[in-house]
Amino acid sequence: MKTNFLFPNRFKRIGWMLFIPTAIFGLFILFHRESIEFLDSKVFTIYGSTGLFRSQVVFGFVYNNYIPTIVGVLCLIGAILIAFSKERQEDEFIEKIRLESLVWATYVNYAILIFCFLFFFEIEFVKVMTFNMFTILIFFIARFNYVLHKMNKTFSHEK
Amino acid sequence: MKNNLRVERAIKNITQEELAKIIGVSRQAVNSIELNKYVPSTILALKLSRYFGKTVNEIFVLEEDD
Repeated sequence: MKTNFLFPNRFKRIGWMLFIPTAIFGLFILFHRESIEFLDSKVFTIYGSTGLFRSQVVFGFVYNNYIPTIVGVLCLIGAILIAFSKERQEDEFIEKIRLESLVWATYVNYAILIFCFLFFFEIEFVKVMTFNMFTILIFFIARFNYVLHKMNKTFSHEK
Repeated sequence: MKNNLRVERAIKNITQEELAKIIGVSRQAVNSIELNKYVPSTILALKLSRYFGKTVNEIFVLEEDD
């Protein structure tokens, strides 16, 4: 039996249930960061900075809000589950579409990133990177499902 | 490569979906093979050959540019 590193089909639904609410909430807090204050706490960091003078901390604690962290992690897990769960009827053709879509998504994602590298700087570039963490998976999911849907559509005309 | 899967299917009088179920693949796979958009693996070709009771050569034919 060959390994294909995919999750069982039922994880796809769990993925959508994680992804949709966290993506909506994530977008909201991205633009209204000041509106969330609960869960402000001391958090462990591998490398960070703290205090008025932004002194460096290595393997120590800093004050930060944990909400974006939790939302971001859940959103990524959701997207991974959607992207890499098996289809109901998994076969060699679907495997091929998946691989093609992954290559396609990687190209598109990095083409956009290279463009943004050239024209965004400092904090604005960090904002671009925030989106870029998620877009490769989103591009993949969109392209993969579009191709499968297209093949299904040509099918339904057939009798 | 060409194939006459659609013809064979018509002879057996089954839909793409039924054939897909019998062979154990997605209906998209059967559809894309018929549309010459996908070349099946040897295993899949042999399964189709077994189901239709014809040799692989009778179902799949090489073309000039292959």
